[in-house]
Amino acid sequence: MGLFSDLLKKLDAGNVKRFSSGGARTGGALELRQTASRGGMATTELLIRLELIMGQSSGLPLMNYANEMVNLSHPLQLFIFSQTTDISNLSYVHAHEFLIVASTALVLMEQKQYERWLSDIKQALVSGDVDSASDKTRNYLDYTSEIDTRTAYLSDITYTLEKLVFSIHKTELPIGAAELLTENALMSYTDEEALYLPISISHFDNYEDNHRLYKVLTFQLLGQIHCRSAEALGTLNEGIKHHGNDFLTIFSTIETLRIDQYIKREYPGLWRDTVLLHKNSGVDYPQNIFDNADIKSVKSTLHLTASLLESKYTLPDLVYQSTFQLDLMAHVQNLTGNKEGQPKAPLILNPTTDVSEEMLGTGDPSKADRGYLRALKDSHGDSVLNSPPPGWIPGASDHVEDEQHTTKHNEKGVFYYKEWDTSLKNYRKDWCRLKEVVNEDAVEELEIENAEALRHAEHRIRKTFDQLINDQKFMRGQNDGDEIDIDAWVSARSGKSKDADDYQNLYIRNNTNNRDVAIMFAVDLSGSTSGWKNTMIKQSTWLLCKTLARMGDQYAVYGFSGAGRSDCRVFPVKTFDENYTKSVKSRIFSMQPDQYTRMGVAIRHLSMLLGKTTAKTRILFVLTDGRPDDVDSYRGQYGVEDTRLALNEAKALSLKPFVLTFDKEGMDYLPYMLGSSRYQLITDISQLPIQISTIYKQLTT
Amino acid sequence: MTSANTIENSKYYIKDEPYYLATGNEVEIFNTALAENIPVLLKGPTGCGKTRFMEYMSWYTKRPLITVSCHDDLTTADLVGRYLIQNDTTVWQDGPLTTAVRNGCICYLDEIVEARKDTTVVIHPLCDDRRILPIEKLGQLLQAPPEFCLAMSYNPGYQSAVKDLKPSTRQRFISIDFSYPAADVEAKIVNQEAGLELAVCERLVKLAEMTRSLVGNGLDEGASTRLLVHAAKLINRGFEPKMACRCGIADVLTDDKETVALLHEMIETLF
Repeated sequence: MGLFSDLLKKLDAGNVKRFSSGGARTGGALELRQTASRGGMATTELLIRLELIMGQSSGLPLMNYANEMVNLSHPLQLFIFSQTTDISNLSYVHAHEFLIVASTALVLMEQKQYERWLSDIKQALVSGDVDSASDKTRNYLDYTSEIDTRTAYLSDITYTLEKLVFSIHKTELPIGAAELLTENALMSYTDEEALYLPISISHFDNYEDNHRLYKVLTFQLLGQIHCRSAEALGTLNEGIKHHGNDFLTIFSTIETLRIDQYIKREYPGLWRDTVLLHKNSGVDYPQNIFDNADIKSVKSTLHLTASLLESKYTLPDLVYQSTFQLDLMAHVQNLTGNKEGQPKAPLILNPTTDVSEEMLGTGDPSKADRGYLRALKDSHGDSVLNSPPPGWIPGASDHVEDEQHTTKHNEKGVFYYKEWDTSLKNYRKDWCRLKEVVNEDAVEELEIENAEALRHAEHRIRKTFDQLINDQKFMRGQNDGDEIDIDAWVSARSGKSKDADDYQNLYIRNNTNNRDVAIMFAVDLSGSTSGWKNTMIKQSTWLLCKTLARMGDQYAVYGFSGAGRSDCRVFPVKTFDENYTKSVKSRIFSMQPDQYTRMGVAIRHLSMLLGKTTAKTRILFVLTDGRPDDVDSYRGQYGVEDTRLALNEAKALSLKPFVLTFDKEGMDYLPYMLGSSRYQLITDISQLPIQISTIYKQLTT
Repeated sequence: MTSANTIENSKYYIKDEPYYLATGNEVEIFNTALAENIPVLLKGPTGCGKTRFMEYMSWYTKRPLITVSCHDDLTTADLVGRYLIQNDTTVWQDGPLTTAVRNGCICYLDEIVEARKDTTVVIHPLCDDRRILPIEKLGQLLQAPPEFCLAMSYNPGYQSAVKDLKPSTRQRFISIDFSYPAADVEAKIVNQEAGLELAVCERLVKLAEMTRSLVGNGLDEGASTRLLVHAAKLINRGFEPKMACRCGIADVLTDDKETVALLHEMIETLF
């Protein structure tokens, strides 16, 4: 059956008997968010949330639904809540019908099938076809019969479209899902602060055309901004007053045609796509409608609109025609300072505008929370994604727009970092609150210090590092160098060796300054490193710090852990500025397993610290025992994607990240997170001290 | 000991006029710097025309040009010179910097920040009013003739703490900033270099501008004028523009699959 079931099976076979069966499939992002630990809400919490959405005295068997949901992971539970809230806003009855089948359907369906199912239900409700909505809800199995290969989904292409738009517009224009305000399933619009597109497109019977349509719709909206369509507002209001909605309809089509001219001129490749859409939708495109008109100005559209009002001219029904909403145009006018002296239209706040206000408010962390995933609301009606971490001040981040990390409230040692949300395809700003926790307890571990086995390891490490130190001095017998190696010349001349190559290697090369290394050891101190692993980590760190002290390399050691985004912690064991001292040793021995592994924020913080060093080679060395994992949905694909982005950010700072892991399943995700040759798996943890020194040598020479 | 101190200057002259389209007053500034014996620092992203400008100025001023591509293994001896062993004796071999000083050439140190910091310091006495090059191994102080000029280039876009110039080096130069030319100028340059139809060159420049917007958003640097010329040459040789842009621009800029896909999408939009 569906791949949800496979993952659930992995999580807890005992609890998912009713869902377990069938073979594996691939694809879908929702289910990938589930990982080693479900971490979902308990029945009581689920029931309370359901009561808040559906009403406490609804008389509905909410406990049954809570029991079904308890087997799902936390993100999937949140997903069902958000969808139920969405549907209940359209129809309470249908929200109940949805709840009856939601959990089962989630397990049986692919992500795309599920999204399409939800989209169809909502579209039916918006268009007033309640019977059809009920049919679709009940007959969810129809959607599982075959994998939909023709539908293009916004979530799949948001990243590409946003970057593409950014590359042209030069400022960020987030892309979100359009609210279904009319029957038009292809409705798209813009408030010039964001672009809103359909959640999915299945207009054509093939994926390529639907994907193409997304791109054309996006550029139409971009065209509205670049061609200043909103400047028509004043005249448009007048026109509608005199001629009714026909004026707006004709204006919309003509303006779309004008934007077509812009696309044709500026983006010939996209125009080719547009022409293909005309062909595939059987549109008779008017080629010469703008003859003799000044297409650079929206006035030409208004003139043409006025002249076509009384004529019998049939305008084409363009599949990509975007919507011009007067309230949004007024909003744009307000933003741009009411250009050309047009009368200011009142700003009517409808749900769409509210969305934009909510989304694009001022420096709010919720800025990243947009699109249909904005609907991931908790049962209190507050966006789960919106709730800022403790200590967050609304609007404060206005001043730190481009800062990757910020400190607020003047809390000492507290930093705020962004986090990548793979489902939103965007960063959540100031999402994680990270605190540096310094442990100054005096701890001694005589057992570790006196362990006989460690003497051997220490000897091996010293030997490895000695080779590095020796490498740094004058290199004799080189084929090129600063000085002549007289000894080598005498040796060659005296005929001790008959090798002709001796005469090629007569120089001394001074490599004194070649070694310029800074390394940051980031040690995972999650709860899973308890026991034997923790002892080995302490031993390795202690030996490493002891022996590295003589190398002259800059190095720092930090532990990291935490529980949730508002309680991320790093534990400075040794900073770059301090030498190896007794208190460093004490801090090494006080490293204890803490809670979870929120890796992205730790990498961002430690990258920032490492980035401040001036060494030529800067290495971020992460030692971990498993994949990224934290309580609040930071697991599975979400955690891996955020960590991957954090590592990419480190690379952008000219740092060289490297991950050493004990996780036997590490090969499943490390190549994706880091690329090749940037990680290593240790199968025998007792070899950790020696392995670290060997890898250290490899990395720094 | 013998020495080989002189060069055949003719080898270092630029005989044919290199194509260079000035975008500002860089030619005048460089000429003034030559007249006033002030060394010149050229700053700009890769492939924006810094080296071509030096070739042009060499041709324009009719002075030989000695170019040194700096790297992190470049030592003082590599610049100044060293003793070599030939048969049973040692021979002093001038390095390119010494050669340039002796012969009144323009010495161009390309990507100077790549060189080791201790190497860079050797140019200090040459870059102030003393204009001398100390050659310790020969016990000589070489006085630079008025014709000698030192120019260096570097790319400030690397944003690496280790790849930066010391203030003590920096403050001996006058600086000419080379950013990418304006779109119409850049299109003309591509058109001239590759002989490709101007309209297509304009589209190539548009693509380059789009990639430059992605700096810090997946790309370390946007497409340079040089890359545009490469793609234009491919198109001129009959390659389909999309293919030429993929091979000549997109796939060169990055290996990251997501970013490559995005670049391909840009190409699809424009061609």
